[in-house]
Amino acid sequence: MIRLYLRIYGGLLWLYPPSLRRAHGEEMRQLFRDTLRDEIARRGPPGALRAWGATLADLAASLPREWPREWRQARPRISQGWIRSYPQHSRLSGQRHRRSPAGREFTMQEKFEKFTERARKVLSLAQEEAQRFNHNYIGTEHLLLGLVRERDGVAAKVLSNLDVELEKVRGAVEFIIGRGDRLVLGEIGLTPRAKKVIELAVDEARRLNHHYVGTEHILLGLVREGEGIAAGVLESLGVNLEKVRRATLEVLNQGGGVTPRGGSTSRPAMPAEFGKFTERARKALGDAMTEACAREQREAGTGHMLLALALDQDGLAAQALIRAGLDLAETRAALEQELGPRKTPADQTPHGAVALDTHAMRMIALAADEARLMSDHFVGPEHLLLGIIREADGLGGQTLLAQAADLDQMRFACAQARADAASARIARPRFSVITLGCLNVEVTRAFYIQNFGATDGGATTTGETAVRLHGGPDLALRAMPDDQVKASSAAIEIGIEVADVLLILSTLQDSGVANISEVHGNSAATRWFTVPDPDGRTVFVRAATQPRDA
Amino acid sequence: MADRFTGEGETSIEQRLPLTPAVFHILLALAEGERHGYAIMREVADQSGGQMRLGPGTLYGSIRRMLEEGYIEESEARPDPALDDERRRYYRLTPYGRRVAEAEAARLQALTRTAEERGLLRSAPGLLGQPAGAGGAL
Repeated sequence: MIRLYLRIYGGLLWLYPPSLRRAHGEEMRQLFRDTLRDEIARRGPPGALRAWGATLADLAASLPREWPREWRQARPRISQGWIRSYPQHSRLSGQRHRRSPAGREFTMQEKFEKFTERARKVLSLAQEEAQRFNHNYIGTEHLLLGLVRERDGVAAKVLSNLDVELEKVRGAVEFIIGRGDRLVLGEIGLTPRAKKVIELAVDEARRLNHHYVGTEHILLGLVREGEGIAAGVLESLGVNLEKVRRATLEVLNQGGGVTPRGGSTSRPAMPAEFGKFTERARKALGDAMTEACAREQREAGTGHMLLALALDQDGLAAQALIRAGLDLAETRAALEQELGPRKTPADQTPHGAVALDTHAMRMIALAADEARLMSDHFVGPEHLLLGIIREADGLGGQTLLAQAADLDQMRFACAQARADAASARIARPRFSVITLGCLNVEVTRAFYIQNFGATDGGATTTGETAVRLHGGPDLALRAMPDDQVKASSAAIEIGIEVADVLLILSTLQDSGVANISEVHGNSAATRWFTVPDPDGRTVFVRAATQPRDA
Repeated sequence: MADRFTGEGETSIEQRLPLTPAVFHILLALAEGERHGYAIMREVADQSGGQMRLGPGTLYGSIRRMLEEGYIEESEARPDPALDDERRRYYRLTPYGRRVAEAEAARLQALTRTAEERGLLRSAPGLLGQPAGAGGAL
């Protein structure tokens, strides 16, 4: 019977606007089914009637709300909320190209996430230009005007090289489209073509292996789209699209460096170890490059790297420096003296390409080696710090050595800083914690099977399993082969949720264990276990009863 | 005017108020942590003492709007162990959404206080059917 009802409801869903149906139709059906099931369980067959009554009333109430909205939004529009919910991204920290969880296309918000300040400014200027013409939409022609007007952008340079001037473009737009006769106020939407251009811009950035979307990518997007008014305007100014594309790539390649993947340049774009970098390490590397960029230096070395690490005060590397007895301010001052003053103010994003110098490349290889020595399957800021000191010849290594730091002392300091970080997190209430050391899936599984009666493959019999990665995304253990957990995780913490028990497992060096049990002894809500690890380390497990939606 | 591209002169939260009851209820339901659609529906029914029943159309119409406004975001899709093993999309508040909810709550509180001063409300009950006195006058 339920199946029949569901089919009927599925039919009724067609009354809703297609956009809502596409976005949430499946969930709406799910919700209806859950309601139906609950009502029937509670009241028997009459429950189904109640569920139908409520759902039909809701249908009648919500249809008149959804349709006008659909009509209003025939032109795609970007809501105002997006910009605030996303932090500014450094060029490298946003490196992964995520798909949204349900595997849908990127939303507009996600697309803008990686836009540089200048690229955002271009969109804003495009809107201004649209309003200037009393146009009630933002089309490709307005994007072009925005690009010309944002003079400091790469795109503006390319366009001015090609003699594309603001007044000429404005004249051409006015000739082709004319002016609107009514003042346009408020937010205006992007035309489908302009939206396409934005999508292509994001794609161009990805193809070039750039981790940001800048004005140059918007220009490339405009060229690639090729059919909009902007393309026509450029054509009428005697600018051929192929020319624009070539000129843009030329300007981009002048910087070299971080640019193309598998392109013609012989220098590797990024060291292979980069794939194992944690978010924090990526950010540090990005910051180091920004430091170089802000000084108009073409190459970032270990000095820039150390400066970036020292500036990230809460980072493990900075904490390790403090633990090693160094004065962060002093280290920073020494580096800044060597590197010279920033030429771009701190609140502006510097522009230009930066490559890693040979010291930095070696440092990264050594950092990865340190990670291996520590049995970590990831490269974090602490490893970068150790890489700097081991590399020794670069500015970073020299600075550290000058301040009387040595490798062994620094390794110890890193271990201490990690233990500090772990206990600080454990002391935090409600969230049941994080730890230290490396994840050993076999041990997790053995413990899990022994104590919770799970069979191998664990999660399939006990419900949901989640692996929390330090600074990374949450992953479902269920579908993840061991080697992936090992490779991608780094898993300083693993939380396994089974019914209402949250399990955290970690391997710790002995000092770390002592440290943690001091901070957080046995209590009613927490049980501690130690489990022998085949590699001879101590595995530390904390099981906490976690109230879930009590 | 608010500049949505550079974030300059952005619309203040106050300009987004008042929220529709459905939106505010959903924000409240998500204040404690992420939930999937059906859990939101039940939570809203609970917190309003059964007065507010969100059907699928109202719920997902609001969710869609809230996603666009940046009040909430999707977290990973996964099954709810209490129901069945079907994957569900979970939603959670963004920091911005939390601020919007706080602003709306403050607005309602001010309103309640005025009602109290005019003698329309004896001992102010807490917002949305919490035990009386919880949100009472200072």
